[in-house]
Amino acid sequence: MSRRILAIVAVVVLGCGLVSLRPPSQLAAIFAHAPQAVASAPAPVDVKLPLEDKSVRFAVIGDNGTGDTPQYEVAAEMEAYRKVVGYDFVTMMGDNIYGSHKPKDIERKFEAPYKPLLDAGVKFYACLGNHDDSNETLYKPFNMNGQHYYSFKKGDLQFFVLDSNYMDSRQLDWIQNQLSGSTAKWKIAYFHHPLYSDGRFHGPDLDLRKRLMPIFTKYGMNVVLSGHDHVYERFKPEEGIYFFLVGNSGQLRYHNLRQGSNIMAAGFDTDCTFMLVEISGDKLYFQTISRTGQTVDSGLLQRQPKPQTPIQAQEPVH
Amino acid sequence: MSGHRLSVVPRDACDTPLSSLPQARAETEGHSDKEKSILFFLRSPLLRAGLRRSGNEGMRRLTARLKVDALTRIKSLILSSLLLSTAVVAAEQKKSGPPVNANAAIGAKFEQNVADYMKLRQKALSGLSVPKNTETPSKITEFQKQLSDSIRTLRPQAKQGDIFTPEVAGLFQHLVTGAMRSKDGALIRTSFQRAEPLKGGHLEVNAAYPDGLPLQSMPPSLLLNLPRLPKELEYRFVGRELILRDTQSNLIVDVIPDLTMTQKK
Repeated sequence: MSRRILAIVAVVVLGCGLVSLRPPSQLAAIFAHAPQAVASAPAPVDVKLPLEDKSVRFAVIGDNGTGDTPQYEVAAEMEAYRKVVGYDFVTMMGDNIYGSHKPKDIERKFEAPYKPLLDAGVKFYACLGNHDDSNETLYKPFNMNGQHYYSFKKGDLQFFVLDSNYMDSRQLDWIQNQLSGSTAKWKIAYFHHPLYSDGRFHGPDLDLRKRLMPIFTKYGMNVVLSGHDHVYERFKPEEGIYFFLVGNSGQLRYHNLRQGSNIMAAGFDTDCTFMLVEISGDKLYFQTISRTGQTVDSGLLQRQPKPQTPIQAQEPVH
Repeated sequence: MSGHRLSVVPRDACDTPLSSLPQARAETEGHSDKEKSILFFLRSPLLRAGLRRSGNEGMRRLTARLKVDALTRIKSLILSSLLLSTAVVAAEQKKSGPPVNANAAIGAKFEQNVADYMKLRQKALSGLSVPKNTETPSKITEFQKQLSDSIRTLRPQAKQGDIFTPEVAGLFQHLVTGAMRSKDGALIRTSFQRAEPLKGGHLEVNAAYPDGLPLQSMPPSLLLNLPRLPKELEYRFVGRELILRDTQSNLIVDVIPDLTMTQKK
């Protein structure tokens, strides 16, 4: 009997020893994805946005359409925050549906996880990622109206949604024409492949950057959002433009951010996230929330006058 | 032009009004001895001082003639360099691909093949209703199936090389190699590597692009080098295969089976 007790104690001690050998960040990742985390009570909603009158509020997700548990958990957090923040649309950075695109996949990878949001009348505006099917453009809940690239307005904001999978001369002409005619106070572009990224798996698309940056800088783009690398990253302004990467709203690549980057303002690569944005006048407030409800980054950006001013943001939580 | 560096004469170089002096000077590097002596003479303080003091008309004329002579020689040097470089470019072009007008003819043939496909596609589409803005994914799947079946019925014998004929495939190889050799070549290569490169498996004409297989994004600098397509069609790489894909029907319209992305030696 005593031998059996001794054996159990030995196994427990050995197990604890092995776990303690892992770096703390890895432990956090392990426990964050342990099954019991699903059952644990979600963190209380902690809104960092000012929720000003007549502001425009929206959520940002990217690389979300896996149909797996983390996507559902992020979606649950989004709904919890929606009840307080009251955002009424979501921008999608692509890879909306991974793998097969049969009707049951659309149900499992989009309609089911975001059902509470869809039921509340929240609109989704998708762009196409490399895992998406061109015919997603015909799916009404993605609001693409059959187009691979399109534009829409919300108050003082104009969004330019691009197809970075296929940036041909037709699309380049289109974005140039759209921007040259835009009188919006805030010009926000989003598309799947990032122009800046410290993700080690993919990294930035330099050819796309070469073609788009001259247009963005010429016509005063304010903010650029993208996905593709399965991490969250906020960048120091590049040529006066604010860049965000939200590519972990369903997928995640642990510890994939390059260390010691001189372009990163904040990064998070140990759990899935989504981002909330509130724009009021010349101010853009943002808050990035993890799958477990932790605020991993938040701050305030001032709309760029000419010449453009630097970012003023709170210290991120890592 | 190599060996010549043009620079404006500084205003304080001498007291002579700029209008009466050569506006530009050429460094002596790369000139013949005769040219050097002319240039040296033109720049000589003695000459300038002489001009200032006497205002001698003959001297002015001589200077002007010498100036014209020097400029003529420089112009002829530039012209010869240009002719030489044009000849080198032409020789290079001859080595790397068919002449420009032959390429234009092959390009026109490709455009005609694409136009023919689009006519057939339009016929396949007639009678089908595109489910624009549907909330029912099964309607999209059904439409895709109907359109692809209809296209297959209209081109049952379609085979590799119908649109990308051997000449067209040769032209595409030339265009892709050209893009990879250009100053954007490194960017294109990096863009491919970072997009999520696909390992090849052979794709058949008239088959569906495999459900669930990601699409390789196309670097813009490469697309700008290829003939523009109607918006219903797109180029995609799968491994070393360049496919022509019908986006709505998800059909492989044609394939170039082995397109090399590396520089040809």
